[in-house]
Amino acid sequence: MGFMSDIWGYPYRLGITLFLIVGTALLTVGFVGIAVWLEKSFKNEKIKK
Amino acid sequence: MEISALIKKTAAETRSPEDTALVWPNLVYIELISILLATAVLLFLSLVSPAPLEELASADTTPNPTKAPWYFLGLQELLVYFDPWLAGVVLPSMIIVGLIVIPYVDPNPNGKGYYTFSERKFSVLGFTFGLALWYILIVIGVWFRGLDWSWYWPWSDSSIHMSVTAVKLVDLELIIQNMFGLSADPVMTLGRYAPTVSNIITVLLFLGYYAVGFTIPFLLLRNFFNQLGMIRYNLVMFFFLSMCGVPLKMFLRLIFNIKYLLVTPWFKI
Repeated sequence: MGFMSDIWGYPYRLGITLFLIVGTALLTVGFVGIAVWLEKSFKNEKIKK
Repeated sequence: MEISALIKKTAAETRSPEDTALVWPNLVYIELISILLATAVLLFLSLVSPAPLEELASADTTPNPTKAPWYFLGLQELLVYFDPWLAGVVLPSMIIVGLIVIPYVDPNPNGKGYYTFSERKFSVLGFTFGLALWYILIVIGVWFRGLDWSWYWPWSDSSIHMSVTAVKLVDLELIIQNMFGLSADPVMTLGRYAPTVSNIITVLLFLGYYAVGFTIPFLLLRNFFNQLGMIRYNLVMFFFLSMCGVPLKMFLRLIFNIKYLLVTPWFKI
Protein backbone atom coordinates (compact mmCIF):
# COMPACT_ATOMS: atom_id res chain seq x y z
CA MET A 1 0.00 0.00 0.00
CA GLY A 2 2.25 2.74 -1.30
CA PHE A 3 -0.19 5.53 -0.62
CA MET A 4 -0.14 4.73 3.11
CA SER A 5 3.62 5.22 3.49
CA ASP A 6 4.60 7.98 5.91
CA ILE A 7 1.08 9.32 6.18
CA TRP A 8 1.97 11.47 9.22
CA GLY A 9 5.05 13.15 7.70
CA TYR A 10 5.07 16.09 5.30
CA PRO A 11 2.79 16.86 3.41
CA TYR A 12 0.83 15.90 6.58
CA ARG A 13 -1.92 14.13 4.64
CA LEU A 14 -3.57 12.48 7.63
CA GLY A 15 -2.98 15.47 9.89
CA ILE A 16 -4.68 17.86 7.46
CA THR A 17 -7.54 15.40 6.88
CA LEU A 18 -8.16 15.04 10.62
CA PHE A 19 -7.88 18.80 11.07
CA LEU A 20 -10.49 19.34 8.34
CA ILE A 21 -12.91 16.71 9.66
CA VAL A 22 -12.58 17.58 13.36
CA GLY A 23 -12.57 21.33 12.70
CA THR A 24 -15.66 21.22 10.47
CA ALA A 25 -17.46 18.91 12.92
CA LEU A 26 -16.63 21.11 15.93
CA LEU A 27 -17.74 24.29 14.15
CA THR A 28 -20.96 22.64 12.96
CA VAL A 29 -21.70 21.41 16.50
CA GLY A 30 -20.90 24.90 17.79
CA PHE A 31 -23.27 26.61 15.33
CA VAL A 32 -26.03 24.08 16.00
CA GLY A 33 -25.36 24.55 19.72
CA ILE A 34 -26.02 28.27 19.31
CA ALA A 35 -29.24 27.47 17.42
CA VAL A 36 -30.41 25.08 20.18
CA TRP A 37 -29.43 27.58 22.87
CA LEU A 38 -31.38 30.37 21.12
CA GLU A 39 -34.40 28.10 20.78
CA LYS A 40 -34.34 27.23 24.49
CA SER A 41 -33.61 30.78 25.65
CA PHE A 42 -36.47 32.34 23.69
CA LYS A 43 -38.92 29.47 24.10
CA ASN A 44 -41.51 31.57 25.92
CA GLU A 45 -41.38 34.24 23.23
CA LYS A 46 -42.37 31.83 20.46
CA ILE A 47 -45.35 33.13 18.55
CA LYS A 48 -48.46 31.10 19.26
CA LYS A 49 -50.02 29.68 16.15
CA MET B 1 -61.26 28.44 -4.22
CA GLU B 2 -60.29 31.96 -3.23
CA ILE B 3 -56.60 32.70 -3.62
CA SER B 4 -56.56 34.22 -0.13
CA ALA B 5 -57.61 30.85 1.27
CA LEU B 6 -54.55 29.26 -0.30
CA ILE B 7 -52.11 31.69 1.28
CA LYS B 8 -51.04 30.54 4.72
CA LYS B 9 -51.41 33.28 7.28
CA THR B 10 -48.14 34.20 9.00
CA ALA B 11 -47.94 33.93 12.76
CA ALA B 12 -48.09 37.73 13.21
CA GLU B 13 -51.34 38.00 11.24
CA THR B 14 -53.13 35.66 13.63
CA ARG B 15 -52.25 37.74 16.70
CA SER B 16 -54.52 40.30 18.29
CA PRO B 17 -53.41 44.00 18.03
CA GLU B 18 -52.61 44.31 21.75
CA ASP B 19 -50.22 41.36 21.37
CA THR B 20 -48.07 43.10 18.72
CA ALA B 21 -45.55 45.96 18.58
CA LEU B 22 -45.22 48.73 15.98
CA VAL B 23 -42.30 48.85 13.58
CA TRP B 24 -42.01 52.59 14.17
CA PRO B 25 -40.90 53.53 16.76
CA ASN B 26 -40.40 50.20 18.64
CA LEU B 27 -38.27 48.34 16.12
CA VAL B 28 -36.61 51.23 14.25
CA TYR B 29 -35.35 52.76 17.51
CA ILE B 30 -33.61 49.50 18.44
CA GLU B 31 -32.16 49.26 14.94
CA LEU B 32 -30.92 52.87 15.09
CA ILE B 33 -29.21 52.24 18.42
CA SER B 34 -27.64 49.02 17.00
CA ILE B 35 -26.30 50.93 13.98
CA LEU B 36 -24.78 53.63 16.22
CA LEU B 37 -23.22 51.02 18.53
CA ALA B 38 -21.80 49.02 15.62
CA THR B 39 -20.36 52.21 14.07
CA ALA B 40 -18.76 53.18 17.40
CA VAL B 41 -17.22 49.71 17.83
CA LEU B 42 -15.87 49.74 14.26
CA LEU B 43 -14.43 53.26 14.71
CA PHE B 44 -12.74 52.19 17.95
CA LEU B 45 -11.35 48.98 16.37
CA SER B 46 -9.98 50.84 13.35
CA LEU B 47 -8.24 53.34 15.66
CA VAL B 48 -6.55 50.76 17.93
CA SER B 49 -5.84 48.23 15.16
CA PRO B 50 -4.96 49.92 11.83
CA ALA B 51 -5.55 48.09 8.56
CA PRO B 52 -2.51 45.96 7.60
CA LEU B 53 -1.64 48.01 4.55
CA GLU B 54 1.83 47.32 3.18
CA GLU B 55 4.25 49.22 0.99
CA LEU B 56 3.60 49.86 -2.68
CA ALA B 57 3.83 46.68 -4.74
CA SER B 58 7.25 46.06 -6.21
CA ALA B 59 8.49 43.44 -8.65
CA ASP B 60 11.72 43.19 -6.60
CA THR B 61 10.12 42.04 -3.38
CA THR B 62 7.22 39.70 -4.02
CA PRO B 63 5.85 38.11 -0.87
CA ASN B 64 5.82 34.32 -0.52
CA PRO B 65 3.05 33.29 -0.28
CA THR B 66 0.84 36.04 -1.67
CA LYS B 67 -2.30 35.76 0.40
CA ALA B 68 -5.72 37.13 -0.49
CA PRO B 69 -7.65 39.16 2.11
CA TRP B 70 -8.80 36.81 4.90
CA TYR B 71 -12.37 36.53 3.63
CA PHE B 72 -11.11 35.17 0.28
CA LEU B 73 -8.56 32.78 1.78
CA GLY B 74 -11.11 29.97 1.84
CA LEU B 75 -11.37 30.25 -1.94
CA GLN B 76 -7.58 30.48 -2.25
CA GLU B 77 -7.28 27.33 -0.14
CA LEU B 78 -9.72 25.56 -2.50
CA LEU B 79 -7.16 26.16 -5.28
CA VAL B 80 -5.04 23.43 -3.65
CA TYR B 81 -7.77 20.91 -4.42
CA PHE B 82 -9.49 22.24 -7.54
CA ASP B 83 -8.50 23.83 -10.85
CA PRO B 84 -8.77 27.64 -10.90
CA TRP B 85 -11.94 27.70 -13.02
CA LEU B 86 -13.64 25.46 -10.44
CA ALA B 87 -12.25 27.01 -7.25
CA GLY B 88 -12.49 30.58 -8.50
CA VAL B 89 -15.54 30.61 -10.77
CA VAL B 90 -17.81 27.55 -10.60
CA LEU B 91 -17.79 26.89 -6.84
CA PRO B 92 -18.27 30.55 -5.76
CA SER B 93 -21.05 30.90 -8.37
CA MET B 94 -22.72 27.76 -7.06
CA ILE B 95 -22.46 29.06 -3.48
CA ILE B 96 -24.09 32.38 -4.46
CA VAL B 97 -26.81 30.78 -6.62
CA GLY B 98 -27.39 28.12 -3.93
CA LEU B 99 -27.90 30.81 -1.28
CA ILE B 100 -30.28 32.71 -3.59
CA VAL B 101 -32.25 29.50 -4.21
CA ILE B 102 -32.73 28.68 -0.48
CA PRO B 103 -35.89 30.79 0.13
CA TYR B 104 -37.54 29.39 -3.00
CA VAL B 105 -36.92 25.73 -2.18
CA ASP B 106 -37.83 25.95 1.50
CA PRO B 107 -41.43 24.78 2.02
CA ASN B 108 -41.11 24.70 5.83
CA PRO B 109 -43.13 27.60 7.30
CA ASN B 110 -41.68 27.03 10.79
CA GLY B 111 -39.15 29.41 12.26
CA LYS B 112 -40.66 32.68 11.03
CA GLY B 113 -40.29 35.22 13.79
CA TYR B 114 -38.75 32.92 16.38
CA TYR B 115 -35.62 30.85 16.86
CA THR B 116 -35.88 27.11 16.28
CA PHE B 117 -33.61 24.20 15.56
CA SER B 118 -35.92 21.28 16.34
CA GLU B 119 -38.42 22.31 13.63
CA ARG B 120 -35.78 22.90 10.95
CA LYS B 121 -33.09 20.32 11.58
CA PHE B 122 -32.06 19.63 7.96
CA SER B 123 -31.99 23.31 7.00
CA VAL B 124 -29.94 24.38 10.02
CA LEU B 125 -27.57 21.39 9.83
CA GLY B 126 -27.06 21.73 6.07
CA PHE B 127 -26.37 25.43 6.24
CA THR B 128 -24.12 25.29 9.30
CA PHE B 129 -22.09 22.45 7.76
CA GLY B 130 -21.40 24.61 4.70
CA LEU B 131 -20.63 27.61 6.88
CA ALA B 132 -18.28 25.53 9.07
CA LEU B 133 -16.46 24.23 6.00
CA TRP B 134 -16.09 27.79 4.69
CA TYR B 135 -14.66 28.99 8.03
CA ILE B 136 -12.28 26.04 8.41
CA LEU B 137 -10.86 26.75 4.94
CA ILE B 138 -10.33 30.39 5.96
CA VAL B 139 -8.65 29.30 9.23
CA ILE B 140 -6.32 27.03 7.23
CA GLY B 141 -5.51 29.78 4.74
CA VAL B 142 -4.83 32.37 7.44
CA TRP B 143 -2.86 30.34 9.99
CA PHE B 144 -1.65 27.09 8.41
CA ARG B 145 -0.34 28.09 4.99
CA GLY B 146 3.21 29.41 4.73
CA LEU B 147 6.05 29.49 2.19
CA ASP B 148 5.01 28.16 -1.25
CA TRP B 149 1.51 27.65 0.20
CA SER B 150 2.85 24.61 2.08
CA TRP B 151 1.20 23.47 5.30
CA TYR B 152 2.92 24.70 8.49
CA TRP B 153 1.75 23.62 11.93
CA PRO B 154 1.98 26.32 14.60
CA TRP B 155 5.06 24.51 15.98
CA SER B 156 6.80 24.19 12.59
CA ASP B 157 9.62 26.55 11.59
CA SER B 158 7.82 28.72 9.04
CA SER B 159 11.06 30.16 7.63
CA ILE B 160 12.23 26.86 6.10
CA HIS B 161 10.87 25.76 2.72
CA MET B 162 9.05 22.41 2.67
CA SER B 163 9.99 19.84 0.05
CA VAL B 164 7.59 20.54 -2.82
CA THR B 165 8.43 17.18 -4.43
CA ALA B 166 6.93 15.38 -1.40
CA VAL B 167 3.48 15.80 -2.98
CA LYS B 168 2.93 13.15 -5.66
CA LEU B 169 -0.53 13.09 -7.21
CA VAL B 170 -2.12 10.63 -9.64
CA ASP B 171 -5.39 10.79 -11.59
CA LEU B 172 -8.12 8.38 -10.50
CA GLU B 173 -8.34 6.87 -13.99
CA LEU B 174 -4.67 5.87 -13.84
CA ILE B 175 -5.19 4.23 -10.45
CA ILE B 176 -8.16 2.26 -11.82
CA GLN B 177 -6.19 1.42 -14.98
CA ASN B 178 -3.28 -0.03 -12.98
CA MET B 179 -5.43 -1.70 -10.34
CA PHE B 180 -7.47 -3.71 -12.86
CA GLY B 181 -4.80 -3.92 -15.59
CA LEU B 182 -6.99 -2.08 -18.10
CA SER B 183 -5.85 -0.96 -21.53
CA ALA B 184 -4.55 2.58 -22.02
CA ASP B 185 -5.91 2.73 -25.58
CA PRO B 186 -9.00 4.84 -26.28
CA VAL B 187 -12.13 2.80 -26.94
CA MET B 188 -13.83 5.48 -29.04
CA THR B 189 -13.33 9.00 -30.37
CA LEU B 190 -15.81 11.83 -29.96
CA GLY B 191 -14.03 14.83 -31.44
CA ARG B 192 -11.28 15.77 -28.98
CA TYR B 193 -12.58 13.26 -26.43
CA ALA B 194 -10.97 9.83 -26.76
CA PRO B 195 -11.73 8.03 -23.51
CA THR B 196 -10.10 4.84 -22.27
CA VAL B 197 -12.06 2.18 -20.38
CA SER B 198 -10.77 3.54 -17.04
CA ASN B 199 -11.78 7.07 -18.07
CA ILE B 200 -15.32 5.90 -18.79
CA ILE B 201 -15.38 4.23 -15.36
CA THR B 202 -14.45 7.55 -13.71
CA VAL B 203 -17.25 9.30 -15.63
CA LEU B 204 -19.69 6.63 -14.41
CA LEU B 205 -18.39 6.94 -10.84
CA PHE B 206 -18.83 10.72 -10.97
CA LEU B 207 -22.37 10.48 -12.35
CA GLY B 208 -23.03 7.59 -9.95
CA TYR B 209 -22.26 9.83 -6.97
CA TYR B 210 -25.08 12.16 -7.99
CA ALA B 211 -27.37 9.31 -9.08
CA VAL B 212 -27.04 7.48 -5.75
CA GLY B 213 -27.28 10.77 -3.84
CA PHE B 214 -30.50 11.71 -5.63
CA THR B 215 -32.01 8.23 -5.24
CA ILE B 216 -31.34 7.37 -1.58
CA PRO B 217 -33.47 10.16 0.00
CA PHE B 218 -36.14 9.50 -2.65
CA LEU B 219 -36.37 5.86 -1.55
CA LEU B 220 -35.78 6.17 2.19
CA LEU B 221 -37.12 9.65 3.00
CA ARG B 222 -40.18 9.79 0.77
CA ASN B 223 -41.77 12.33 3.09
CA PHE B 224 -38.88 14.71 2.45
CA PHE B 225 -39.37 14.27 -1.30
CA ASN B 226 -43.12 14.75 -1.10
CA GLN B 227 -42.77 17.93 0.94
CA LEU B 228 -40.41 19.48 -1.60
CA GLY B 229 -41.87 18.22 -4.87
CA MET B 230 -39.91 17.19 -7.95
CA ILE B 231 -38.24 20.47 -8.96
CA ARG B 232 -37.37 21.71 -5.49
CA TYR B 233 -36.11 18.25 -4.46
CA ASN B 234 -33.75 18.11 -7.44
CA LEU B 235 -32.47 21.64 -6.79
CA VAL B 236 -31.90 20.96 -3.09
CA MET B 237 -30.18 17.64 -3.72
CA PHE B 238 -27.99 19.05 -6.51
CA PHE B 239 -26.64 21.85 -4.32
CA PHE B 240 -26.45 19.63 -1.22
CA LEU B 241 -24.53 16.86 -3.01
CA SER B 242 -22.22 19.38 -4.68
CA MET B 243 -21.50 20.93 -1.28
CA CYS B 244 -20.72 17.49 0.19
CA GLY B 245 -18.62 16.71 -2.90
CA VAL B 246 -16.15 19.48 -2.08
CA PRO B 247 -14.82 17.95 1.19
CA LEU B 248 -15.10 14.50 -0.41
CA LYS B 249 -12.78 15.54 -3.24
CA MET B 250 -10.41 17.08 -0.69
CA PHE B 251 -10.46 13.87 1.36
CA LEU B 252 -9.68 11.71 -1.68
CA ARG B 253 -6.77 13.95 -2.65
CA LEU B 254 -5.33 14.05 0.85
CA ILE B 255 -5.61 10.36 1.72
CA PHE B 256 -5.26 8.68 -1.69
CA ASN B 257 -3.18 11.34 -3.51
CA ILE B 258 -5.81 11.59 -6.25
CA LYS B 259 -5.32 14.66 -8.43
CA TYR B 260 -8.35 14.50 -10.71
CA LEU B 261 -11.44 12.34 -10.27
CA LEU B 262 -12.61 13.08 -13.79
CA VAL B 263 -10.51 14.10 -16.78
CA THR B 264 -12.06 15.37 -20.01
CA PRO B 265 -10.54 17.55 -22.76
CA TRP B 266 -12.76 20.44 -21.62
CA PHE B 267 -12.52 20.29 -17.84
CA LYS B 268 -10.91 18.32 -15.03
CA ILE B 269 -12.46 17.78 -11.62
